[in-house]
Amino acid sequence: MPAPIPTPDLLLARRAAAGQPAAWDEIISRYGQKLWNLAFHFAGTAAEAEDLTQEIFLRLHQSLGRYRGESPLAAWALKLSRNLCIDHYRRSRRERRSTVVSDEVLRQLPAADDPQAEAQARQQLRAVYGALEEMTEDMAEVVLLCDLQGFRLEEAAVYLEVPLGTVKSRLHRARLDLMERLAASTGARRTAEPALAVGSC
Amino acid sequence: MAEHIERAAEIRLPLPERLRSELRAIGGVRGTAVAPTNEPGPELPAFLPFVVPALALPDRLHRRLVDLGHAERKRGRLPVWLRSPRYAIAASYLLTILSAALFGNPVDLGRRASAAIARELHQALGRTTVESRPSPQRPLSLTRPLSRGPHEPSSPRRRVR
Repeated sequence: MPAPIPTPDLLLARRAAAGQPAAWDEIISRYGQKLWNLAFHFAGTAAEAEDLTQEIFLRLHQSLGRYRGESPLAAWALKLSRNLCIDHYRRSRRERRSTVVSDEVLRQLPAADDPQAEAQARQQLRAVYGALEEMTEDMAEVVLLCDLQGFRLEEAAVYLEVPLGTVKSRLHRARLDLMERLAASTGARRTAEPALAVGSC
Repeated sequence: MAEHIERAAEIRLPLPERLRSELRAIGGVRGTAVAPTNEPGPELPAFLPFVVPALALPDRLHRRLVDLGHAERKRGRLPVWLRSPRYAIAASYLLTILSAALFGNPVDLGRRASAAIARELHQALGRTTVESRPSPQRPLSLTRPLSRGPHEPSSPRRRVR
């Protein structure tokens, strides 16, 4: 059986594993922001997210030699980070009872002309995070990935290690669950719908 | 919704992209949600009415990550003879042979050690017996059996039928 043709991702991983600084820098510039944001949403605070990101990259560096190029490097890196993120999420969920949405995320929200709309958007984001804390882990995870992190469904499927159809159906159920929780928390079950439309999932 | 129409009409030709996007827009209207399928379908619309911003990687963290790779590189990997279990097994085998050659047969060594311990123990117990003997008429025997239960005879008696 002929050896597989090395993909650019595989070559990059090999170079980084061999200790070439340029290759490692390339990996950081490619996936640093994505993994940092992922860690941030799982950790909740910048300090914890920094530690988590560092932990993820350390694991990545140690495991690069085992990358065989069967899947894209991005997907492989995401999969590798999952256990660390989940562990951290469980730990932080156990430790803190109340929801924390960091001010850093809120500050990054696009400024609106109308201050009232801006305040409403912040309030909605806080409410979403609050509802996520009460949801089951797999449901919260898929909303975090697809709606808050902007993962494509295929990426989420790779990350969660489930088929694409499962991601879709899980996301659909999670959104409905989230809607109900948001509506219940505001006390107006149906009035929240125009603000957060379920859409055609 | 687009897939449903395709299936319903049993169209073999792929749905034109423009028509697909128009149908998808219709499907986006509230109340006409399409049930999720296992087929790879169009991307789901955004759930939140605004985009949650992506945070930029802080410079401090970026430096930490870069240093991480460099530090790992500087530290280097352990030599093969330390990482491989083969070398560890070979080394322990060699040590066993060498120690056997230097100190003698390990079985014999163990036997001698246990004999020495037994001798020491016996002497120590003997000293204790002499010191705590109550009277010269009743010597405390080390070989005396322990107290027996009520149903057990003190001396073995053979029953004759």
